[in-house]
Amino acid sequence: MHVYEVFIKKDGRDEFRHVGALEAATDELAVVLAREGYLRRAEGDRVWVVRRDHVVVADDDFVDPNADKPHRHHDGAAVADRRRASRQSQQ
Amino acid sequence: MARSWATMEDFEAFLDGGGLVEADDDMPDAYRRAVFAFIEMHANSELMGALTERDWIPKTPGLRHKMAVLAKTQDEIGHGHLLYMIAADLGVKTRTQMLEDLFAGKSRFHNVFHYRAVTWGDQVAIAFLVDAAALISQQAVFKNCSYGPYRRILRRIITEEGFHMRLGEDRMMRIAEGTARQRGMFQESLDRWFWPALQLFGPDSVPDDELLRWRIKSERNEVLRDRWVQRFVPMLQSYGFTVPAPDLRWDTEAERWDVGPIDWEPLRRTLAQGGPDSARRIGEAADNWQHTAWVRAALSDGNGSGA
Amino acid sequence: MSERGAIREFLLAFADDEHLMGQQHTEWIGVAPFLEEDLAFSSIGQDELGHAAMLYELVLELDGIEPTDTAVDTLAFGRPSHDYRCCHLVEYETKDWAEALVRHWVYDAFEAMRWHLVTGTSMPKLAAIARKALREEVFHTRHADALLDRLLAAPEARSRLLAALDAVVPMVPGLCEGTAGEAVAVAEGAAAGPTAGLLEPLLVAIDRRFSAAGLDGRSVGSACVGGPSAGGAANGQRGRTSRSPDFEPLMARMREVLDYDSEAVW
Repeated sequence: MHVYEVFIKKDGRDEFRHVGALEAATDELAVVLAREGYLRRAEGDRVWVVRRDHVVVADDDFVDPNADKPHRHHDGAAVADRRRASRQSQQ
Repeated sequence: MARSWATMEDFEAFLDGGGLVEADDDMPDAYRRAVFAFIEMHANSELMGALTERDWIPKTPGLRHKMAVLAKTQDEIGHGHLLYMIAADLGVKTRTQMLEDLFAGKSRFHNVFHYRAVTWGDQVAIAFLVDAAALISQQAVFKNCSYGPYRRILRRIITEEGFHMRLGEDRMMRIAEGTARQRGMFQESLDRWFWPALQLFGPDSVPDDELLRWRIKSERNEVLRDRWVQRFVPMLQSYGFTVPAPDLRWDTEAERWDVGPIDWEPLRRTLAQGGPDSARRIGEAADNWQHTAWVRAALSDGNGSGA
Repeated sequence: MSERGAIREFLLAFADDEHLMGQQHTEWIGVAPFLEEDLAFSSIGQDELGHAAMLYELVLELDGIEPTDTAVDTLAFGRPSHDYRCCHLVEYETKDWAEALVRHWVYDAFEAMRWHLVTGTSMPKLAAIARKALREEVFHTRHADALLDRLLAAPEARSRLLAALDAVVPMVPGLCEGTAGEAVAVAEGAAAGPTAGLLEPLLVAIDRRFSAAGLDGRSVGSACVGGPSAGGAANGQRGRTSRSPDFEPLMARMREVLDYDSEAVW
């Protein structure tokens, strides 16, 4: 048996989303069993199953430094200040 | 790769700050064991609940009614599945070990699933009273649970429990509007199931309950129990049924129902020695588990890739 | 037999087969070999019960009765046993999960062929049900095949499944047995051909499914009572009017709550 991770999406509504896992002996059984395990009420209309041991996982602290890059998040407040100043100088 | 905490104080500060623990975090062992035990008991209860209902499914009165009841019990097995998967990821026991411990009578599950559903009325009482009690508990866990995988699957579980409660209420209403025999049957079911359902919440939480401190649970047992009482006592009365609590009274000052003193002895006895019907059901499940071992063995055989 | 009567018999046999097959699958709820399978098998049972309900509604419409849930239930549960038209395969109480799986595969292989018989029917409602059912059958077939692909490749499982096949195959001619007056129903355009015409292709499909995994040169056709050409008499069903010994206990269980209070609506 393998553990498969299950991802589903509703067309046009969202990205593929991880919803859980299941155990299955083959890829075909994983797809078949995912349907009644995770989509009984058509929670999505598409499903991916991926063997857990095929998922490549990055370390948490590998991404972490990117949480501190303010120059990539243009601050709306600064723009608003400039607009206001510009309007005032035109009056 | 995982996050880790040098001391329990650091870990608790992380929890107090609203942090969510993930499966691959290096969590303190005491937390790991506590959250595992909690999820394992929830999983066992879902499965034992399905086995309690299983006795009556072939006898469901009506074809479309049977489809609805099947869908409900199927959901409960689905909940068991989701819960066993995330419990296994904690690395304390495998899914197979959990099931085999349950079938060997070594594991805990909710008190209510030690009793037998002796009439169809019991099946409806379970769907109505017990599912509601379970839902109230689960909503309280979902609200603030510190273990991420549990909290995420609870969203799905709670949605599905909502379908079950409405199904139970619908069926209860048909009985309430039904014949004298139907109403009599259901009153007897209430007499059997009211107290076990109320005791599902457990005795009052101890002051230093670690499940509360670690936000595995977020509300005290007595608060949840009272929420159920305030909701179901008037509802049962409004449908003309008698709440089987001799000391039941309306507290005019507090404006709330008081069911009187609770005898916890049946709960203690059930959890210590098993209840009136659990051995039979567990025995049946264990036999079936053994009789289908060849299927699991054949599926586990080899590398299982592709095909 | 009148045209209406002939069509009614045809629909009733279809509905009763779906009803009892669904009932049998649901007996596995909570005790299937593993949790994922429990969910899948229960869904298949629910689908079959749903087909039965829709087909019973068609029968009620032919009878001029409003097809309410109560009327459906009266028809589904309330007839004397000789008025049922199910085949013995769906009445059969399986001894183990191997028999349940083999019966599931055989029944769904047959069921898909039977729905194809009515996709071009002169009855628009039946055609609509067939379209819905055939979409569901894709899952049923993939489910059974995915399990068999894997299980027939494992020696112990294979010998259990082939033993189960030996138990199931003698009931296959009965599965494909038509009802009285079916030729009239076909002539009226209710179906594209007789149910009995499905026996040959079904036996071929069974051979193909199981021989690749080691029927050891045997053909399942020879295991059928009297062979594929045998008529209704040989299988003991007498035109789907006689019940096997497993029927009464099953129906008694299904009726227990209904019989508790005949006035009640649940």
